[in-house]
This record gives sequence, structure tokens and C-alpha cells, in this order.
Amino acid sequence: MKALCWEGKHSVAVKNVRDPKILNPHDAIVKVTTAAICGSDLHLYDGVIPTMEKGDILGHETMGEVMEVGPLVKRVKVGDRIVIAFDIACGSCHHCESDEFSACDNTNPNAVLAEKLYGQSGAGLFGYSHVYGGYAGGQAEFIRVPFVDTNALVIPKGIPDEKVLFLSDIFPTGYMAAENCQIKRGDTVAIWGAGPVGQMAIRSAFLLGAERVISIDHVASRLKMASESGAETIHFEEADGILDEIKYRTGGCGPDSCIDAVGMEAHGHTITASLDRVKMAVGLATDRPDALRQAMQACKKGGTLSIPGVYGGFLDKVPFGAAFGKGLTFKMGQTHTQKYMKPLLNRIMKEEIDPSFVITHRLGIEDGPDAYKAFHENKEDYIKIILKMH
Amino acid sequence: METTKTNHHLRKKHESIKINSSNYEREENQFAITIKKSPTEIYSFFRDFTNLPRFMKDLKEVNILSPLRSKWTVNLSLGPTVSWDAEIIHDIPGESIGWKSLDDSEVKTKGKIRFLSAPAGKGSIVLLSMDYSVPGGKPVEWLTKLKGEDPHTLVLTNLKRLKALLETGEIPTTEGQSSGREPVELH
Ligand SMILES: NC(=O)c1ccc[n+]([C@@H]2O[C@H](COP(=O)([O-])OP(=O)(O)OC[C@H]3O[C@@H](n4cnc5c(N)ncnc54)[C@H](O)[C@@H]3O)[C@@H](O)[C@H]2O)c1
Ligand SMILES: [Zn+2]
Ligand SMILES: [Zn+2]
Repeated sequence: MKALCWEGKHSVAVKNVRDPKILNPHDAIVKVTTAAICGSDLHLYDGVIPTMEKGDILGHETMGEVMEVGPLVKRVKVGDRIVIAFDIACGSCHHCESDEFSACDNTNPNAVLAEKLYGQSGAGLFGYSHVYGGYAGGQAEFIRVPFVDTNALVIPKGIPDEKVLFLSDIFPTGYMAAENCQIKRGDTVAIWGAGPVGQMAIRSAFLLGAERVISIDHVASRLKMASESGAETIHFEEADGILDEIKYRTGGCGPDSCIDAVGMEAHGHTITASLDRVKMAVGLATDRPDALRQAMQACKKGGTLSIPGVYGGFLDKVPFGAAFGKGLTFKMGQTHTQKYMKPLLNRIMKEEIDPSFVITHRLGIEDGPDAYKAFHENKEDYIKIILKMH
Repeated sequence: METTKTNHHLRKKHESIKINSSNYEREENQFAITIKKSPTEIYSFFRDFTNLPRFMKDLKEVNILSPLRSKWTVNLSLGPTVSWDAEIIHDIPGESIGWKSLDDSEVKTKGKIRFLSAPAGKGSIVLLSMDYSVPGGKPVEWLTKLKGEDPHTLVLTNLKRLKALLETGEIPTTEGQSSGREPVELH
């Protein structure tokens, strides 16, 4: 089959590789119909996530048709159309039973390595480095899905791929980010990053009852999309002091909650942002947390900071005093996708939302390497790319 | 080290609920894991040593020679096949099992595993002590060094594999999956 493989920093190739096969009794083999490229994939593309290996198959936003199931698969059937959660959960451990699927104990074969880095290991992830298990991803013609009964959502007939594909990651991610804000009536939520995750968070915040959403980015087309969802926007390069602007717009209090949907590779021209870039380039820092810093500064007293943006290592100059002084609550982490897939499918079927609004490009697998380059370099035109695999 | 601390804490607690661990007080290589099965279930699975190769990497087979004796065979992918006889030196059903290699065997090892009830229906806390610094041989160290792993990592990995097997019925793996490291020609 053909697959998009990580070949090194800023290098992705279409390769012919062996077709996947069943390796464990709860596995399924899925013929991928549509896959997407995620902002998280850009962290891999930029080489800032450790333990990638040349030749790793990329992709974790995947859907398709079940071709084969292992002997212990009960629920999912050959022929089913499924959306696959990006995090791999076993469905039976203590965390899975508590709906904390991304904290699953039993799916990362390299858990001991992860523990050395983070103290504990999270779930295995598709196409997301060896410390997260080294599982082959879904930007390929076929994919092996472990514990398919837990990790797949069967899609009813008649709904196009585009409407449901993002149940694999960014819609649950944006939704969980908004849910973590514990929004109350009348709340204002400020969201850093108007990428696909930020866009889903904006819509989700409104679904969960936010009065106002303020979207912050520096890409005009993305801010335009945010305002079409009902958000007020701030272009952080044009604003006269981002923190003052947010404070003014929230009557001096700051937003009730803030979402960092940017993650470890924030852009910016603040002093801290420039320092981050230098330190990261010479290996003195692992992450560029400028959006996080701003969100910590901006948030109101007793507010909540929700962080779907991915961080990998040790963060520099984080204003922890501000967080402590204001008594902030932090909520973060990989999304418990499986918890949200079904209820969010219901929202899609009730036409409360159609997540396909973020798609700007529909390409084929052969376009993969160019698609990565374009998504990386041209955020103005490329907001979300989906790849048709079959 | 974190594991040591945890074990220390557990050991105290565990003493208060009675199992005697004085023989193991001074051992350095202790490991703990929580498994969502009852102590009796884990004990029964473990006590049947023929189950051990199902989750212990490189352990090819265990043959039962008599109620207390067994023959363990390790097969290294690069090296020779090594085997030794072990005997059970204590056995408290549902609570703990101890074993050691026979005095005249080529490989010297000693281990003890204990099963305690975890609080709030979380299953069991499994404590494993491995003595691989018995005078005369450091088998695990030697075996794992051949494979470029350290013995701690191997023991921890095996405990996690035991947990996964008991909780889910399988052990997570990516061995045999496709990758761009071995491209194929399209026909
Ligand atoms: N927690 C999870 O499970 C999960 C799941 C999916 C994605 N993510 C993460 O969410 C983040 C966003 O993903 P995406 O797909 O939307 O990525 P993306 O790269 O398309 O979007 C990021 C956006 O942030 C903007 N930005 C950069 N610096 C900024 C700053 N200082 N202030 C405000 N905006 C800034 C960029 O212009 C861009 O529009 C990434 O870190 C990704 O890894 C996490
Ligand atoms: Zn993603
Ligand atoms: Zn689990």
C-alpha cells in the first residue's frame, strides 16, 4: 500500500509499504477512505517531538471501512464504516473505565520509555512517535486498529466522510477544551489559536453556553472564519498590546476562561517569544509557550485555563506567580476522544454543527508531501487539509 | 528513585496487613504495579509457571518437573539458549510465591511476588522482588545487556505486559506492523 512516511525534519514521502495485518485478537484492518493532517502533525514535521524514526507512517485523523477483524472483536463488523479515535485505548483498565481514555494503561508498548520522560505513560497514539507507542498511522491506504471495539465509532449510512471525520480528533479536542472551561451562563472565553482546534473550540464554547468568545491569532483568513462562527477577534500583531486589549474588552476583569489552542510552537514578537525561538534552535528549550504565558496573564481571578495545545518538555519563563496569585485552575492533556465521539455524532446528526466548515483543501495521497509543506508555510490559505485515500 | 519510595510506602502498609517481608527488606530491586484483578486471580495465573512465557520477553518456555520444580528456558535472539531449574521456596495461595534457581544451576536467580488488595476495588497491588545479584551470577543483567536493555527496564516491561494481558487479554505490540523502513515494490 501507499503511506505517508516521516523522513526527518520537514520531510515527508509517499512510500510503498507492506499492507498491515492483524497482530492482536482485538485488532481490525481498515481501508482508509479519508484522513486529515492535524496541527499536531506539524510538530512532528518541525522535528520538535522526540523519538520519531525515519520511515514512521504518519496520521491520526482517520476513517474508513473495516476489512477484517480479529477473533475477539465483538461489536465492530467487516463492512462497517468507522471513525477511528487518535488515541488508542484498551477499554478495560481503570482509566478507560473512568472515561479517561488517553490515560489508558495498556496500549503503549513503550510505556517504560514514556515513564522515564513523564513519570507515567499515557495511551498509545497513532502515528505520533515511539514514546507514544510507535503505532503506524492513518495517512495510508490501510491501517491496523488495536482494540477496535473501543476505538471506533460506527457511522450510520448516508453521512458523508467530511461531516464525521473530525470526530477522530479535532472536534472532540475543541469540545473537551471548551468543556474543561466549565462555562457558566454569561461567560466570556478567550481562545488563542484559530487553527482547526481553535475553530472547534469556538463553536463548542457557544454550544456549551458561552456568551462571548474572543479568538486570537495573526492569520487573517482564520480570524475571518472565527468571526463567521460568532467570535470577536483580535489580530495579535495588529493589536496595541494583546493583554491590555483583552482586559479592556472584558471590562477590566479578564476572560472567565482561556483556551490555549496553539501549543508548543507559538509565534510572536514579544521578548519571551524571541528568546524561546533562540533557545529552541540551540536546544536549550523544548517548547515555545508564548500563547500559554499570555493566557495565564490574561485570565480572570479564579478562572480556568484549558490547554488542548500540545507541549512536550520543559517550559521556560512560565508566569507561575500569575497563575498562583489569581488562583487559576489548569485543565489539559490529550483528548479522551472515545468519550466524546458518540455524543458529538449526535450533535452532528441533529445539525447543531457541521465540522466540515474548517476544510479548505481536499487532496489525494500523492499530494501528501506538498500538503504538509503548504500547511506548514501558508496558514492563510490552508486551514484544514483532508486527503482522500481511496 | 521513585519506585523505591513507592515500594517502601507499600511495604510498610503491607506489613501492617500481616505478610512477612523481613527476608526482603534489604533487596534493592523491587517493583510495584496495580492490576485490576483480584489477588487470587493473579496468584492463580502466576502460580502456573507455564503462563510466564506469555508475558515475559525472551522466556521461551517453562516446563513443570514436579509440584515445586520447573525448568526455565530463555532463548536470546542473538545468543544461545540458556536454561536452569528453579524451585518454589514458598507459596501462600492468594498472597505470595517465592522461587529460586537450584544451587548447582548455571544461572542464579531468585524472586518473590506478592499480591495485596488495592483500595476501592482497584484490583491488586503486585510487588515483585528480583534478586539478580546472587553471588556467582547475574543472569538477568547478563541476558539483558546482550540485548542492549537494562534489567530494570526489562522487569518493568514484563510487569506491564502481565498487567495488559490480565486486564485486556492481549499485550500491546507494534511488532510486525508496516513502516517505511522496509519499503516494497508495487506490483
Ligand atoms: N490535546 C489534544 O489531544 C490535541 C489534539 C489535536 C491537536 N492538538 C494541538 O492543538 C494545537 C492546535 O492544533 P491546530 O490543528 O489548530 O494547529 P494549527 O497549527 O493549524 O493552528 C495553530 C494556530 O495558532 C496560531 N498561533 C501561533 N502563535 C500564536 C500566538 N502566539 N497567539 C495566538 N495564536 C497563535 C497560528 O497562527 C495557527 O492559526 C496544536 O498544538 C496541536 O498539536 C491537541
Ligand atoms: Zn490531531
Ligand atoms: Zn485502558
